[in-house]
Amino acid sequence: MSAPAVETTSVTPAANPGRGTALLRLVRRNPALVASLALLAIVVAAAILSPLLPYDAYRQDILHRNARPSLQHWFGTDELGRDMTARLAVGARVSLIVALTSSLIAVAIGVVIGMVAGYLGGLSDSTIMRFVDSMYAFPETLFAILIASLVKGQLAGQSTGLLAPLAEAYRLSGGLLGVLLTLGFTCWLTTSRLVRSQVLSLKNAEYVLASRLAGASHTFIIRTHLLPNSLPVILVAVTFVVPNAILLEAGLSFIGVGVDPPTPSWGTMIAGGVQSIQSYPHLLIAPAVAIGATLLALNVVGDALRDLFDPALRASRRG
Amino acid sequence: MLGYVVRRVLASLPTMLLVYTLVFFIAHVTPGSPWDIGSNRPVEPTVKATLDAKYHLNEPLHTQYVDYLLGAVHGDLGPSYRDRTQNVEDIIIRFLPVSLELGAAAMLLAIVLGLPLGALAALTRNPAVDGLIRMVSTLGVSMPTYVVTSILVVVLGVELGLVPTFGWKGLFSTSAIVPVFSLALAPLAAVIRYFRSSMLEVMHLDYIRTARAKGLKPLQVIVRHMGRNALIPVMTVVGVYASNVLTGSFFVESIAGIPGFGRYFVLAVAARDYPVIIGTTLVYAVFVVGINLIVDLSYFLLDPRVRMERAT
Repeated sequence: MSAPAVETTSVTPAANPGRGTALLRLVRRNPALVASLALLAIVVAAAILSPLLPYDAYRQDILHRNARPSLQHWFGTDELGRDMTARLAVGARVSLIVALTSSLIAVAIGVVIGMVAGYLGGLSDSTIMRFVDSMYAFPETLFAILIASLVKGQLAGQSTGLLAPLAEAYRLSGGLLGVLLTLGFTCWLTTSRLVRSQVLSLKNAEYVLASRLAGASHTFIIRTHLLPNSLPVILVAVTFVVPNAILLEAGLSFIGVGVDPPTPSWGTMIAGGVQSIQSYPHLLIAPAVAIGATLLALNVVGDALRDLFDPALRASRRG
Repeated sequence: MLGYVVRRVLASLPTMLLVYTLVFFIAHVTPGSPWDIGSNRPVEPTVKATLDAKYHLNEPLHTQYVDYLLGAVHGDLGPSYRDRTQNVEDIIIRFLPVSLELGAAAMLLAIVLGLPLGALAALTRNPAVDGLIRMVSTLGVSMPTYVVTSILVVVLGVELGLVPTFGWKGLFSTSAIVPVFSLALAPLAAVIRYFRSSMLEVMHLDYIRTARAKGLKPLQVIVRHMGRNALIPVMTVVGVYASNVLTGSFFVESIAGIPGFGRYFVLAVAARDYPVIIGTTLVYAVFVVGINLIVDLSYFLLDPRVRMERAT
């Protein structure tokens, strides 16, 4: 991890103008990437434009329950007669908000912890990293479920005092806030490891030593040298964290500790679809395919980004 | 080697303590008591107090923390609050084997199918075959288990009627097909992916040329020389996925209606069944630590350099 990272950073200024054309070449050579980007664009468009759809995601129509897909309802209607297309679109919105916000929280935590551990070194480093190593023994999904029910329990009831504004925000967001906090606290481990190893290798680079000799403060060194030069690694971490966050959100909602009904989430829709799997399989297939395709597209794009930011990885993959 | 194992086991004790501490406090800080969750009527305060006293929940948290830990060290994981006739150990004995069977079968399937496919993708001169295998593996990495299970249940169970849609009749029955395959897909994809890339890396090394030059049969070179060396990075991935498959089985278990350990954990969290939550998590953590140890030991078998390092 360390050697290629140094290489990337030293090459960055020269490679910068070439990066655009490299991207273009990749697009031409990699049709799967283009398809994935197109699919993600559709998902984003659906999420943004969901209020413009002819049907409301919450409007019940008891006379048309469990309708099969038709021209009026492209993906049919659910057990309360709500339009599945609208619910899928709002579900996309939930997934995207979760993916972006919780990744931001998780990556921020990971960067701070990795940066502190790598920069301070010594006892603080080994203490922090021992903690991180131990956390890997705590199964991620179990940890997320426990944290989710903790956050839900704390915020869903009648909270007073310090937690009151948070509880209000939780209620307004339909349980989304709980999921964001849960995932933020759960998904930072890998980021912290990646950032730490990057900082360890940067810390003793000549320009950092020169900067320190010139009397630069720690915050200055971190802000101008370590943080910008860790950006490729941080972006690589983001490509892992974002799909994972979407996956976990749907999983938590599926179990019932994620987003609260009636807010549609792909996870709750899948859970609802499982109930009527025998008679109305389309209620299950639509959200399942939506989340599967989105994750697939994110992984393809993530692979391409990792290729772009990590030359060593690219070399090894080509063989 | 034995010394190494002993050292690793000792080194995992602080890890277990951390996991215990976290799960204990997260579980106890979560609002709601085990007695009034799941029943519609509020529980009489006197009844609640009696129950609290019986299960020592009225004592200060730090006393409970130490007491439970002392019990756990002696192998007593406490009673279940939700099902008061049972101890946590009974629950583990009843539900864990199903999850273990499922997980082991899925990992075995992933390895048995994944290694040949990965090797084929690396060695074939046909780009279409390589492309197809890689596409399948990207698909497998991306699909959440609950999506795969759902789709398989709909297609194989509902539409074609080949397998039951719900329930469990043991590993060697049609009811196992969907859960085992859904759990196997992600590790299968990962094994293919990593074995392919490490085979590509190994295949141009000098000792492979030497092996070929001595006149070994191609299959012998592939299996004994390339495969063995290329297996090392795959072992790491297998370890990660083995833990994931074991701890992530509750989605499959709830969709396919399998009475497994994962499903029980989810129910226990909802019911604030503290001993079951803590006991289950500890058992899972032991497995994760154990799997990691096995993976590290497998390096001894595969990589002579690691053996040399340890010996000196």
